[in-house]
Amino acid sequence: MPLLVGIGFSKNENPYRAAQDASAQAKIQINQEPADLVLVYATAAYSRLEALAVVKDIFPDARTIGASTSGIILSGSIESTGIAVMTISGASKQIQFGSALIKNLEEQNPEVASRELARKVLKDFGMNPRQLSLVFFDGLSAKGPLLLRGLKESFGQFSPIVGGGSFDNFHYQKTYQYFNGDVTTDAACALMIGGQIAVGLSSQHGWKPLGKPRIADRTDRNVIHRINGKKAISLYEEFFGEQASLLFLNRLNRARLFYPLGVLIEEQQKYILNHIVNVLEDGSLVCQGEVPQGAEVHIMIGNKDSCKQAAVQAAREAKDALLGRPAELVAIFESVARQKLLGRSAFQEVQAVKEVFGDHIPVFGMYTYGEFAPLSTTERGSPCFLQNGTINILALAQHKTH
Amino acid sequence: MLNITSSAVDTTIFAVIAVIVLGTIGTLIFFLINKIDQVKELQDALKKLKLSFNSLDEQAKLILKTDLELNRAQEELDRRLASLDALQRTSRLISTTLDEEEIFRRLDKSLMLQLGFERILVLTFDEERNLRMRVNTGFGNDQVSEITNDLLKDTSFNSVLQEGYPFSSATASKQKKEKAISVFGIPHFILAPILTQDGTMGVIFVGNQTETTPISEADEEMISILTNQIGQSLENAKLFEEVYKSRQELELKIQDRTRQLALALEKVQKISRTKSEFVSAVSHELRTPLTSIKGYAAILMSGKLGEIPEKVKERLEKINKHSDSLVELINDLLDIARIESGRVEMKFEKVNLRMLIENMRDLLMPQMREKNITFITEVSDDLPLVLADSKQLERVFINLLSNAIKYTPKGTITIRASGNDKEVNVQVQDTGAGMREEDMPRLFTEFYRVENELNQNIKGTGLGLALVKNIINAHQGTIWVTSKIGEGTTFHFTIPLEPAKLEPTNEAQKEKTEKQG
Repeated sequence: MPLLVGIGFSKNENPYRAAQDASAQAKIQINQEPADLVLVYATAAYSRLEALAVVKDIFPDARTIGASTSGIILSGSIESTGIAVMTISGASKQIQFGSALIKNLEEQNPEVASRELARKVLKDFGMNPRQLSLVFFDGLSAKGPLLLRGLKESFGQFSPIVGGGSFDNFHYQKTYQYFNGDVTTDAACALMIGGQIAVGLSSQHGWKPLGKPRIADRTDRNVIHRINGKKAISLYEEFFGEQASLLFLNRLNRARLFYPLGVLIEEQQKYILNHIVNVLEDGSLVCQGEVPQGAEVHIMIGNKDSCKQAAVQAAREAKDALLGRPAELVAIFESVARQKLLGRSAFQEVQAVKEVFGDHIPVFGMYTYGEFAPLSTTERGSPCFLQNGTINILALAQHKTH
Repeated sequence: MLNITSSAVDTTIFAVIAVIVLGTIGTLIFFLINKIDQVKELQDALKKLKLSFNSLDEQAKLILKTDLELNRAQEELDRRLASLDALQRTSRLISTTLDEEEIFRRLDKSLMLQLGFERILVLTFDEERNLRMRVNTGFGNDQVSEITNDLLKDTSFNSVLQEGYPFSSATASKQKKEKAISVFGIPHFILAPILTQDGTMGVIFVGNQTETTPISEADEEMISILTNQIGQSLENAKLFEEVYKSRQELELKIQDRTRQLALALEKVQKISRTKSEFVSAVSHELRTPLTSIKGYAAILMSGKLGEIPEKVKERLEKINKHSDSLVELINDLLDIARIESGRVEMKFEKVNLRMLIENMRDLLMPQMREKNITFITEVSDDLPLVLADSKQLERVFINLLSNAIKYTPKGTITIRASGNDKEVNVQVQDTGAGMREEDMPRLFTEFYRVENELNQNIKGTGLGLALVKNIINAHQGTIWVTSKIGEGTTFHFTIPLEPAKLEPTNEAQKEKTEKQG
């Protein structure tokens, strides 16, 4: 049975009706066949229990997983309000899935909780060959890096982790994770994908380092205390003036998203981007991801063009990884920083990705507040990081074409 | 000797060593000097490198500042473009309805969805200049009544309500801003008047509790444009309402008047029917004794009852002649009454008008000759046959020609007839006295006779032309007259080649049924 992909979207003012419409569209596209997997993205106003319950009602036997977002990426548009449903059918014999959810992250030791999540996922997945895992977590939670650490340890270094932090249309108030009809906050859900399916994955950002290199000479996981012997904020103060901390304390200021801290990963000679999420009283910078002590750091800069080039590069790498098999679906997990930076021309980036895969490729993506992605997708076993500013392209193809 | 030799050797050795040492020292000094130069060079290079790094940093700062400014400009541009887009959509939405309530409904949705405001309040003035709530999103009813009171009482809002100027959290003075925040309880807002030609008709408040989308001067301008558009749409809706109302009133008046006219027409028809019935009844009643009078006169004149003196005979002849006139008058009256009430059944058949006109020549030639009148007929060769009642058409021609003869002392009478695939046109023209324009409209009315000297000497009942008109109408044709004093008169009539089938009137049907019975 060939793999069928259905994508539905609606922005009906009534979230219940919107979920119904989007699900119905997706169901029609898989010829009313039972779905194996349902992926749901919804903007904040549509993240309602009744909306997700209706999706579950329409696809009662499918695994349902998803997250709230600030924008939904579709083949024909980018939508800042609404609900989107993607279904995969005919996969049961070729692809294996395993999924699970853990709630109340704030109350738990994140590493313990994430190991528990991984254990549940693996139990559900069984002893099948693993391809990769898809994870959604509360983007506003500070526990992302530890969560990733636990998952990496449990899933092993040869099973890449992708996905990202759920978001809420830049309100920075509450984000949601969806799992089998349940709508939760302060949670994480994961889906392991494996079996007879070809996976092409690539992660790029397009930001470039600015100014001379500096050393993060005292760090504690995601907190940088000192850079070049001075309090960490002084790096930004040199560039933005003395008001830099105020700039970064205002979550709505775009500078936080546009000028992340680049951390050089020596082995791969690559920069990962880290958004500054807080500035402590002693001038320490709190990043979303972890920063190794002694790492070379830079303020990073990007523009629309460099973003689009990075997207094309990611698309090409993901396509190449399929070794000539035609992609059936392109899933995108893209940073909210890119959504803001690209602004009205955001869809041009999607078009550039479609040009790589062919104009008829179904595209289903979301904007994330923090992305899980391996540093290099061309090297097997490359470590995964919690990054910012990236576009992660996941292309799926069948092993055998029908 | 040996001592000398040993001393010399020593000296030589010493000298050699000294040379070597000196040489080494020299070399070392040379190398040292060289190294010092290299270190100096390296230090210079490092200094330069540091300078370059610092310069790189300075450049980076410059780039970042420029980029920051560019991003800010881009952000503002994006916002403006998005606002313009939203404004255009909202304007289109509200300008495509002429229903006031619908304007507010659409506005409510659009302000939330397109422009992304969480709180919306639209208030309009009623006839007593009290503010009435039209749209409310996010405010409690008690809060709204407090807000309306504050808006009307507090002079801080005069600039909006009285003078028609908007203000927002981005542009208002500190005092004004604080006042607005205390009234609405929303820190990021725009307050704009809805302006019409007659002044401020209301006010719109939009705002957000959080600074997700900060409100700028551009937003204020945009909302002002929108409120102007709303004002215009509301004015259009009002005008439409007025036009609609007056049209409805007009329609009601027309319906009323039509009803009155229909009633009047019914009355007139009833009267006309009564008149026809009266005329018909009276005529019948008159005809019987008249026949007797004529009969007795004839018996007397025949001398069967004995010889009568010549003078009596003369009188009897006059009785007979006047009786004939009276019979003719009664017959005409009866015919008109019958045709009007539809009681005369037309016997439609194909009629050759050319022949009918030639028969007229034979019939009326003696009278024309008597008056020295030339009779001309101009009948087109391809005159089609008409479906008509030939007897009735004969009466038309006889009446029209008799009239022409009566009013033409001498001269010419011409009959023209032509036709097309739909109808035939006939003209009966004389070169007689003609008539005044004002007499023409009433010419076909029963008993109407033109008042002039000539007419006083010519006898007539005033029924001939009325009968003609009735016959032509019964054939679904039209008749009219053109005339000029001193030049003559022309009667024109047209009749269709085939009259459309008519439902027989109830009375005709009734009469027909009675006859058949």
